[in-house]
Amino acid sequence: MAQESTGSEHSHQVRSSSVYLFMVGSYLQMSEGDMAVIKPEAMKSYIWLQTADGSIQQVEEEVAMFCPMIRQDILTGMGSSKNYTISLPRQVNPAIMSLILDYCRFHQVPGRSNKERKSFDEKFIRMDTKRLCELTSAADSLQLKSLVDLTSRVLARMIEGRTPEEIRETFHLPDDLTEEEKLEPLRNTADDPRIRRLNQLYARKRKELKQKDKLKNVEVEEDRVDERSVDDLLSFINGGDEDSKGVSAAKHKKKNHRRKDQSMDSSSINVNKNHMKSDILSSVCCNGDVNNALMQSLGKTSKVQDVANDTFAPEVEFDDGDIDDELDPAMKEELDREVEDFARILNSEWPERMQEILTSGQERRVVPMSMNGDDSLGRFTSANQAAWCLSVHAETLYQMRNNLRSAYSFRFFEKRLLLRTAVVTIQNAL
Amino acid sequence: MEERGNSDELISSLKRQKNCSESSTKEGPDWISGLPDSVLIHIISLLPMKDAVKTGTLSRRWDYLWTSVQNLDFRDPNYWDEDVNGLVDFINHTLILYNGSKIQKFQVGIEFNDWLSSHVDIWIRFAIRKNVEELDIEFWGGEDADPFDSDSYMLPQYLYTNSSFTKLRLGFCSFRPHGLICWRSLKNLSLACLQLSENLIQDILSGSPLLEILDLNECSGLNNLHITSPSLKILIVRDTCDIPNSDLVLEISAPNLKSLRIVGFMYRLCRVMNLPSLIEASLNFKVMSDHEDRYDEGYCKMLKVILENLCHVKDLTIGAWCIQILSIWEVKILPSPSSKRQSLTLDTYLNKWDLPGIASLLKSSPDLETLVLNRTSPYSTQFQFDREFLDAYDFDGGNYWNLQKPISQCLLHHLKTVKVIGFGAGNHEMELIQFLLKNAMVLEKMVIYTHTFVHQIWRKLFMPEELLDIAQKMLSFPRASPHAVILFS
Repeated sequence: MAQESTGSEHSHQVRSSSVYLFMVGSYLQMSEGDMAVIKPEAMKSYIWLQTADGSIQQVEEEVAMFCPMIRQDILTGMGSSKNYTISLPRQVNPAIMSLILDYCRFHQVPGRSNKERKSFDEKFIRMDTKRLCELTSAADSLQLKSLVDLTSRVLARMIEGRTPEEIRETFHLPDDLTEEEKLEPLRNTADDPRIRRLNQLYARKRKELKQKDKLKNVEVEEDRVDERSVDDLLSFINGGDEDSKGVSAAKHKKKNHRRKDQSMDSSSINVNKNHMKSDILSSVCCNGDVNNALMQSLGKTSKVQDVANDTFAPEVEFDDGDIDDELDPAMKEELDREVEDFARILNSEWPERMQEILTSGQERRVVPMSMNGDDSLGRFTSANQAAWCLSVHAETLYQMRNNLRSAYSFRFFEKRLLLRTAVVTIQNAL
Repeated sequence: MEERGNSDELISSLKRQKNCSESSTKEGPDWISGLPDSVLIHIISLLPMKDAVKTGTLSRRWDYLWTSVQNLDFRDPNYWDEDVNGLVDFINHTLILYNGSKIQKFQVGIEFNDWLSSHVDIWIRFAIRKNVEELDIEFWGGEDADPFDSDSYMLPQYLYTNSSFTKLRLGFCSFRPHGLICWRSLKNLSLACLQLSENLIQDILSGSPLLEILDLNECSGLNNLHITSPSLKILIVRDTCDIPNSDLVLEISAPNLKSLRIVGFMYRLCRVMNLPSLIEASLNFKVMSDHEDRYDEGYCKMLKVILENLCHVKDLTIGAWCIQILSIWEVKILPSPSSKRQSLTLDTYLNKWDLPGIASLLKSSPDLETLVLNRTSPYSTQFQFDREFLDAYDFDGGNYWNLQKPISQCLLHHLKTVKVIGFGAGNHEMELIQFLLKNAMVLEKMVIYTHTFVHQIWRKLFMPEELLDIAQKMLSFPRASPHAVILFS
C-alpha cells in the first residue's frame, strides 16, 4: 500500500482512496510486508479495529474518531498497531462495519452542508429490514447516536400508522400475547367502529341541540357580524399557511379565533379549521359509503356555485385533499371583479336557486333552520347548508370583501364554508 | 383506522409480497426485537402516542415497552372533534399506565369544552411532576368558541413558575398570571391565539432569562414590542389579531435580536427600530386596514421606514405585498433606501406588478450576492391596487426588463447565485432569468427547482420533454458571465 508522506491535498486524496480500495479489495487483512512500507512520519495515522469474528481492519484516524466508543479507546492509546487492535462489540460484523465507516467517513468532514448530509442519509438508509436492524444494533453498541437516530426514524416510519398485524408481518414478530394481555387503552375508543359510530351519533345530537339554542339568539346578533367575519376569514386563510419545514408530522393548524366584543352567528362562519384539512377530507373520501354522499353533496354545492356565477372560475376545488391554499394568481386578478358579481347575483337570485335545489335530489336529513327574513325558505336539507350559508351571508361577505380588498380571501372563505358543510353532511349521513 | 382500510390492505399485501421474497413467513427470524430496550424505546418515542401504545400489543418483547417512552405526543392530525371523549379517555388511561420517570415532551391538541378543564389540569400536573421539558398544550375552539372570554382554559398558576421547561407552546387558552413569571430554563416560547399585553410580554421576558425564540402567533394586545432581553435571538410575529386601527402602530425594537420575521396579516402599521444586531429579516406580511380610502401613501411610507431601519440586515426575505408596495414607490420614480444586504429572497408568485418592486430592490442592494425567487411560499398575499393607480401607471410587463436602465450595481459586481424555487416557466420568470443572465457579470450558478410545494407535498411541474425544451431555451440566452452554470433540480 502506497504511503506518501506529503502534505499536498492531491496525494492525500490518492492515499485515502488507495486505502479504501485496498480495504475493499483485500477484505481487511494486512500483511507484515505492507507494514514495513508505512513510514512513521506519515501525515495520516490509521487505527486498527478488530471485529468479533477476528478479522482486522485499518481505518483512517479521523473517521474512527467519529465513533464515540472507538474514540475513547483511541485516546487511551489502543488501536495504534496491528497487535493492539480495538475490539469492536459483537454486534458489529465486517459488512456492517464497512457501512458504518462509510457513514462516518462522509459525516466527519466538517464542511458539508445540511442539505448534503440529509441527502446522503436518505440514500444511505435504503436497505432491507434485516440490515437496518443490524445497523441500528451496531450503531448503538458503538454509541454512534446520530446513526441510531437515523435508523430509528426509519424503523419508526415503518411502524407508524400500521396495525399490529402488519407490524408483526413486517418484522416477523411472534404473536405471543394472550388477548387479555393485549391491554390497549385505545381499544375503548376510536378503533372500534361501533363505538365510533356511537360517538358520532352523540356528537350529532349535541350539535343539533346546540344549534337549536343558538338559533334563538340569532336575530339579536345578526347585525354585528362584520368585523368578526373579517378576522375569521383571515384566520382561515392562514389555516394552511403554517411555517412548515416540508412534510413534518406536526400538521397542526387548528386555530379558531373569535373576537372578544362580538359574538357569532350560528354555524356557518364558525368553521373549525381542522375540518378543512385535506387529510380529513381524503380520509373521509376513502370510506366508500361516504364517498357517494360526499360527491353528491359537493356536486350540489358546486353546482349551486356555478349556477350562481358562471363567470366564476370552474376550477375543480373538491378533489380529494385538494384544498388549495395557494391560488393560481391568474385567477386572483379575475376574482377581484367577479366576486362582486357573485355576491350580487347570489343575493338576488338566491330564492329561486333554493327552490330548485329543494325540489331536486337528496333529502337526507332535514335540519330545521330559519333566519331572519328568510322564513320563506323553510326547511333545508343538510346537503344545502352551504347554499343557505352563502345566501345569508352574501351581504356580509360582500362587505368583508371590501374590507379586505382581497378577492381570493373571499374565495377561500366560501370554499372552506362549502367544505365544512360537506363534512357536516357526511357526518349526518353516517 | 376505518378510513385507512383500503390503503392499509394494499400496503400489507405489498409487504407480504416483499416478505415472501425475503424467504420468511411469520416464523422468520425477528431482527428488531434483538435490539436493546433503550433502542426500542427510542423508536417508540418517535411515534405518536396512539401508535406507541399499539406496540404494546405486538409481542411479549414489546409489551409495556411504551410505558417508558419519554415523548408523549397526543396530537393527532386526523382528529375529529367528535372524539373528544375518546381522546380524553385515551390520555387518562395512558397516563395511568405510564411508567417512566421523566417526560421529555408532552404534547396535546384538543378541542376545548368546559368539562375538559379538570382533565387538562391533571395532565399538566402529571407532566410537570415528571419534569417535562417541552410542553405543548393547544386547544382549538368548537363551533362557537371565543378564546378571548373566560370560557377558554385557564392555565394553572403553577405553570408560570416552572424551572424545567425549555420549550413551551400554548395555544388558545387564558394566559393570566397572578404573580411573576419565572421560567428559568425556557429557551423557546410559542404563544398562539392569546390575549397579551405589553406588560405581560415584559413579564415573560424578564422571567425567562434564557429565552431565545419568541413566536407570537395570532395574539392580540401587542402594541409595542420593546424588547431589552439580551438573550432573545429570534422573534416571530404572525397575524396579529386586533381590531384594525390605523392609528396604532406596532413597534418592534430589540437590541440583541438576530432574526426578525413579521408574517401574515397585521392589523397595525409596523415600525421597526433599534435592531443593530439583526442579521436576518423577513417581511412577509400584509397590513389590513379598516379604511376604504387609498392607503398607498401610508403603506409606502411605512415600508420605506422599515427598509431604512433594516438596511444593515444581511439576509432579507420580502413577500409579495411588500414588493408591490415597493412597486408603487418605483413607478412613481422615488428612490428606494440603499442597503447592505447580501441575500435577498422574494416570496412571491411573480406577477406583473412585482416587477418594479424587484427592480427597486435590485437597485438598492449593491452588495447582493444571492437572489432567491421563491414561488411556492404560502404567504404571497397580493396588494390591492386601485383602478386609478393602475390606469395611471400601467406598464408593459412583457418588456419590462429590457427597458430597465441603469443596470443595478449588484449585477455588475456581486451577484453570484440565483435560485428559483417552484419554477413554472411563465413569461415573467423567463424574462427575469433572461435579464439576469444577460447582465450579471460574475454570476456563478443559477439553480432552477421545478418542483412546487402544493398541498404539503412536492409536486413535479413538468414532464421531462417539457423540461428539456425549457432547459434548451434557457441555455440559449446570452450570458454576461463566462462562468455561469445553470442547474436544474
